[in-house]
Amino acid sequence: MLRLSRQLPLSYQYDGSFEGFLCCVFASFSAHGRPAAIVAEGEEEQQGFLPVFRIETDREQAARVYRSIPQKISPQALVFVEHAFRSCLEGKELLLLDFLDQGYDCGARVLRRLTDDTVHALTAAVRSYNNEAEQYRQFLRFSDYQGVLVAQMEPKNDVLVDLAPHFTARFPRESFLIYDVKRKKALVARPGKWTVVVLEDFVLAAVSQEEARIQTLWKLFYDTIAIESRINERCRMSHMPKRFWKYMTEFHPSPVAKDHDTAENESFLLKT
Amino acid sequence: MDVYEKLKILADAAKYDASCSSSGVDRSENDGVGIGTACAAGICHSFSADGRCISLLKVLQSNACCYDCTYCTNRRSNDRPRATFTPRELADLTIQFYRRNYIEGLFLSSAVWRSPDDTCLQMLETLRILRKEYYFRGYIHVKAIPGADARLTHQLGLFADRMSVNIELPSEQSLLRLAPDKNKQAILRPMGQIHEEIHQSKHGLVRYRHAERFAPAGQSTQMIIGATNDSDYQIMKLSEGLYQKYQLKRVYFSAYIPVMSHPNLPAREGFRPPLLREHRLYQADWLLRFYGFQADELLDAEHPNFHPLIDPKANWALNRPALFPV
Repeated sequence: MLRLSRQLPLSYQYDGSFEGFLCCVFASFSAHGRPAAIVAEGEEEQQGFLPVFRIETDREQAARVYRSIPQKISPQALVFVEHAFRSCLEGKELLLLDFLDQGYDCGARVLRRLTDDTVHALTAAVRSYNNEAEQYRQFLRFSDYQGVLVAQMEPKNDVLVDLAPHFTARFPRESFLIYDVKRKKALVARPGKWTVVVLEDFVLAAVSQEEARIQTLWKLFYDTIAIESRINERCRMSHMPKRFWKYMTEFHPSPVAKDHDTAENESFLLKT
Repeated sequence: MDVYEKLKILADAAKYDASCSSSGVDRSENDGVGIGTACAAGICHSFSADGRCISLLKVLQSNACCYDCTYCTNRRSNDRPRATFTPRELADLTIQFYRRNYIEGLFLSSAVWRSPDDTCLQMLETLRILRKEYYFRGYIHVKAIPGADARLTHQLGLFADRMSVNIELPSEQSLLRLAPDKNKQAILRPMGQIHEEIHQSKHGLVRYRHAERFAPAGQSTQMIIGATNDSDYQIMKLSEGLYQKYQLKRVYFSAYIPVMSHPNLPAREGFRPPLLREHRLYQADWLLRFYGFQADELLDAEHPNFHPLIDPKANWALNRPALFPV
């Protein structure tokens, strides 16, 4: 069992995973003290002069904390914590630690403490997370590469796994891949199963002629359906912010198809 | 003519239909043999340059119309390119768009090609391929064709999620003036039939688990605003009647956009679509549907139109100072 000095402010360092964070919670409670910061690996430059205490990820400890949340707070609180952890809120780990501390104290009511700074900040982060997940359900665009559907995205929050239930239910017989460009990981789904893998190097080849034809048809439909006398750019941007446009087929320049016979490497390149 | 040309003509001809909602039906689980789900709140997949949402692939089956409605670009006396999708082409296009997450489903309307029954058969075949060959579980909104056989309308309703019949213009006189081939009875008959069948299907589902589901997301309609001199009061009274009598989910208003010149239509030069009026009517429509207001409370014979600068709810309050003592 860990025993940390109460006096010395520490900076926890963990591996960046949700399980690793739960171990930080475990360490903090068993040491009866709060760390001054919780930093994920690779973000060392933020920790400054504090002494670093490395938290090793232990599945058993993580599982104990994981089980305690629905038992001692509420099942909704567990979902809330998971979503907040995947949000892009800065310093979320320390806020979540405070949230859990309050939750173990007062139970399910903690979710309604909206005047509390911690709960308020986390609620806003979870809202942003859920909104962005919904926006990617709307605006994600797939392209067909030899029968595999491939989409790219650059979300602010880490919404990748939240897209899995929606798209696997929707396309039960398709194989598809959704690539998070910033985090360099991909959701890979085959009929009946899906997983998240790390892809360091991801380059898409040119599309086939059939794919280029469908994309051209979609661009045509998109341009045709607007009514000229009602053009309203402001309205379009508020419904569909411009940061999504980058990967949307309707805003791409006309696709250039590769000829089937001359293409050296038709499939998209994957290097793990 | 290839699919590109057809899509260009038939999407262009369908763009004035206001409805693009994909809401009202929930099929979140797919049994694994087909493609697609539908979520109760609907999903907008894109927004066009006019800020309107694109949720469904909105096209006509055909624009080769045998009618001659004055306001419509597809009337037979108008010289313009004509196209007709084969059911196979349209079903394949829908599936290809759907797979790429471009759309939530299909919005299928049509000009009257040869006869109402022939048109209906083409549309039915498109929906049959989608539902029975691709096992497509996404959203389908289909327009009933006034004048088609009731059995065909029934079949359409079994494949579709939502059905609609466009009432086109707010009064019979306007209809007579601008759409001489259509009449009030021909429009209201399928509307009544759809209402009746939705009611029966809901009733049947209570008793038999496997009763056929008829247009589970309900029925809607659309009318053109500003092509004739019907007042807002008439429009509100009509909408209220439609909500009460046919239990419509929505009445859509579409600001008139001049696409051709005719002595019976407003002058084309300098005409601007009455977008603000459309907005006020939608505000009033929400008051009717969700806030328990009645048309007679909002407007009356002496004040038949909404004030363009005050929203209908504020207007209602300003006319009733006695209810708001200072």
